[in-house]
Formats: sequence, C-alpha cells, structure tokens
Amino acid sequence: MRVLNVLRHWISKHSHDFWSDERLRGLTMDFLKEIEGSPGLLPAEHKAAAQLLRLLERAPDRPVDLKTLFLPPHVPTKESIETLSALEIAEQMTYLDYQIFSSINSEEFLGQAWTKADKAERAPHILLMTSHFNHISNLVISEILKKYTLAGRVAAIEKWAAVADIARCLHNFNGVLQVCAALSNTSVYRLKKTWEKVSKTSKQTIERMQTIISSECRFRILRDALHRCDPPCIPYLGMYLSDLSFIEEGTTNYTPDGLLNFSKMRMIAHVIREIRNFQQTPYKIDHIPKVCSFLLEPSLVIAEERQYMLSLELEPRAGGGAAAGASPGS
Amino acid sequence: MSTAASGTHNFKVVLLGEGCVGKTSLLLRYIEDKFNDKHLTTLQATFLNKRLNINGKRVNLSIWDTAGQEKFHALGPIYYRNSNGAILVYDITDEDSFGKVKNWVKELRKMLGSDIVLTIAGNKIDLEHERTVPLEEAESYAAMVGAQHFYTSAKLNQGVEELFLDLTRTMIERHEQNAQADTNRTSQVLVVDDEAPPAQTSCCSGNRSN
Repeated sequence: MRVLNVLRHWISKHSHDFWSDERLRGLTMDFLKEIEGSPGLLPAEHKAAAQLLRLLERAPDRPVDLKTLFLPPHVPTKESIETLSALEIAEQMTYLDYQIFSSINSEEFLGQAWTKADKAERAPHILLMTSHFNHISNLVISEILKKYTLAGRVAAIEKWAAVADIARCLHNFNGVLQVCAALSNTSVYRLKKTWEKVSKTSKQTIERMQTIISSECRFRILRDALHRCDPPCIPYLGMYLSDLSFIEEGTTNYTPDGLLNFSKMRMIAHVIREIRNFQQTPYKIDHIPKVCSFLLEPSLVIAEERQYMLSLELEPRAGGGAAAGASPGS
Repeated sequence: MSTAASGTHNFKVVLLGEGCVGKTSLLLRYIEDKFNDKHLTTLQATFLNKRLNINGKRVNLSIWDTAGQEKFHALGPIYYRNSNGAILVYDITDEDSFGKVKNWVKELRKMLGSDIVLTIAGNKIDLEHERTVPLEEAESYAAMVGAQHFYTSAKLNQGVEELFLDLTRTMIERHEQNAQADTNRTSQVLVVDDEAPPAQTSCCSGNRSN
C-alpha cells in the first residue's frame, strides 16, 4: 500500500514523467496490472491499483502540440496591428506564452541546463520561451520602425502600449516585458520626434509598466506584484533563471564534510515550486489562428542589424554631431 | 545628484558574457568574497552594491548581473542603458565566449559611444592548461577597442579585486573629464522628455533630493 501511495503521488503530481517515457509508463502499468490480478492482496490495494491504471491510460490533459502551434504560418499573414485589436493581440500573446511556459519541465531548471552545450536536449522549453520572447520583442520593434510616417509610428507605439497594458491586466508579466523591452530598444527609444507626439496617457501607461518590470533591486517590484496576484499568471522566467544561477554558482553541492548540501537543494526546490504554482492554472483563452499567425510570422521581423539603420533613416541624428549623440545617457 | 556635492560617485556597472563563463561567481567573489547560504535568502531583496574608497573618493558601485538571462537578448538595452562601465567576461577555455565578448563590445560602442568604460575579463585561469583563446589575441583585441584586459579566477580569487579597482579608477577619471567638459557647455545641455536621467542613476537610493 505504501508503494501504491508513493506511485499515486508521483503519477498525480508529475504525470509528465510517465507521458514522456513510454518505457516507464509501460513498466508501471505492468506492475499495477500484476497487483490488480494478484489474489493475496487487500481489496483496497486492488482498488488503488485500478485507479492508478486509469490515470495512466487517460491521455494527458493538454493535447496542444507546441511544435505545430509554433510553426511559422504556411500562408503569409494578411493581418497587421491595424486590423487586429489590442485585446486580441494581448490575449493571443498570452495564449502562446502560456502554452510554452506551462510545458517547461522541472528538470529543465536543474544545473543551469539552459546554458550548457546540450541545452537543446536538456532545456528545450526554456530555449523556446527565450527565443519566442526575443521574436515578439523584435516584432514590436519592427512594426514600429516599418511605419514611414511619424503619425504611423506614434499610432504603433500607442497600440503596443495598449497591448502591454492588457497583458499586465492578464497578469502576463512576460508579455509586458516583451513589449517594454522593445520600446526601450535603442532603435525605438531614440526616435525623439515620434515620442514627443505620443499621447500623455500612453506615456503614463508605459511609465507605469516600466516601473513594474524595473530590473533594479533584482526585480523587487515585479516580485511583489507576482506574490500579490492571483493566477493565472505568467511570470518573467529570466528572473527565476537568475535566482537559480545565483544559487548554483553561490553554493556548493556538497558540504565540507562531504555531505549533500541540503539547504541548497531546498532553495532550488523552492524556486521550482513557485514556478510550478504558476504553471498549474491555465488561462481561459481560445486559440485564434489568424492572430497567432501574425504573431509568429517571421517575415514581419526586420533583422536586428537593420533596425538601427532604419531608425537612423527615419530620424537622422540631430546636428550630425558626436557619434554618440543619439544615445541616451552620458 | 552625481558627485561633487556629496562627494560620492554612483556608478552603474553591467556584467555581460555568455552563460557559463563564471560571471556570477566573479561577482559573488568580489561582493562577498565568501558566499554562504544565509546571504542567499536576502539576495533576492538586495541589490548588488559595493562601496569603495579610492584616494579619499567615495564610490558606490551598483553591479548588474544578467545571470541566467543571457538568451533574453531583447532585454540587453534595459540592462546596459546608463551604464558607466561594463565588464565583459569570457572563459579562456571557450573560444565562442570570446566571440560573444566581441559582439558585446560592438553593440555597446554603437549604442553608448565611447563614454562607457570597458573591461574585458578572461576568467578561469585556474584552467590555464585548457586555454583555447590565445593570450596575445585577447590582449591585442582589448587594446584595439580601448578596453582594459584582466585575467581572473573566481575559484582562486585571482585578479578579481584588481579588475574592479582599475575599472572604478577609470570611471572616476572619465567622470571628472566629462564634468570638466560639461561645465564648459552647460547652457547647451538638452533635456529631453522620456529619456532617463544620464549616467549616475542608482538603485534604491533616494537621490532625487533636489
């Protein structure tokens, strides 16, 4: 019975282990069938085994296949930020983010797997999360720089500010950061004439969000917001990756006496548990393919090297002075 | 806000480099020298600050580490904006990590011009026998782009103190030069909305007194 209890815990809390490993699932099922058919055991044990078998036979809840979902669209999208509403964009951004976020396995967080040479095998979902993050950020930058008129750029900035604000209301902090990173990108940030025309309310919205996601004090404000909000919620993953890096590099795996450093393992578990907590509450958002095609269309993104050049064409450096004239700060 | 009045320099320094070159170890070594579990619990709440006193000048370094977030490339500008200095770390046994340093140098020079003080750190010299990045190449590259070059080992605690000290000295020099230049053209300083105040912003310090 004790064995069955352990198994029950394993299967219900970490069902992924069984669905990603056919052999494990097969062996476990064989074992359970054996128990079920074994006459010397208690009826309660037969019942428990039968229950667990049913759990293992039922397909996992999430049939969404990430690979197909994130394939670039077959036909170039006809949509643009003008044809889609800010709400649609923000919701679908959240839908996509959550699909990746919720499929990250706890093992991917161990041993800084996402920085190692075999990261593609050991941390595929963390990698997808980051590459998708960069893609969306670049999309936002591109959609702003693509507008040749000042009014067009102003409208684009205001639209994305609205998108980010809705993402904030959806507790999608990852999405807020994707947009804010784009708006702080030098190619966009330096467009002074454009920013002058951006409405006050949009600027205030952006400012408020910049405060939330401020990386100062190791994301103190964002952490507070996360702890206050009710799920569903998508945190900014990088924050946890930093925490894990600090724990991994700051402490040894073994104590000086050669014992396992348990307090380190507990700290790692604490971080992972917090992430899992957020992974478990899904959003009630339906997939809208036409919006997702827009968000995933690679051809909409201007290459990073070109962004800055384009920005200079749109608003040449003032006065043609110092080389660093356009850059903020000193 | 910056200095002269209070006599304290506030500098922001970013730590950049590939994922497993040992940036964080370097930083932890410098800040705490020894790192233990007790610090970790407070780590999340505190900012990595270091106070120094160089020739009677008080300096407050705010050090930003992108640990674990290297692949969130889109966030780069948020990190390095308004930095006075950057430490670009590579692993002497990993050529790719040195290539990454070159990319950072290019990006920082393009975005921040020559005002940011660059320091390149070849880390893990305790693994000297596995070195793949040639000594001469690294040093001549650093000289070419106007960066200091240091060899460090977070493990053996070598070169770490020197690196930060040298960087801080250079930042003070650079700052004093700029201040000099600024007084010559104060009237031309243009304040633009939406741009963060230049340079000496620092975390968590209520320095908006005026």
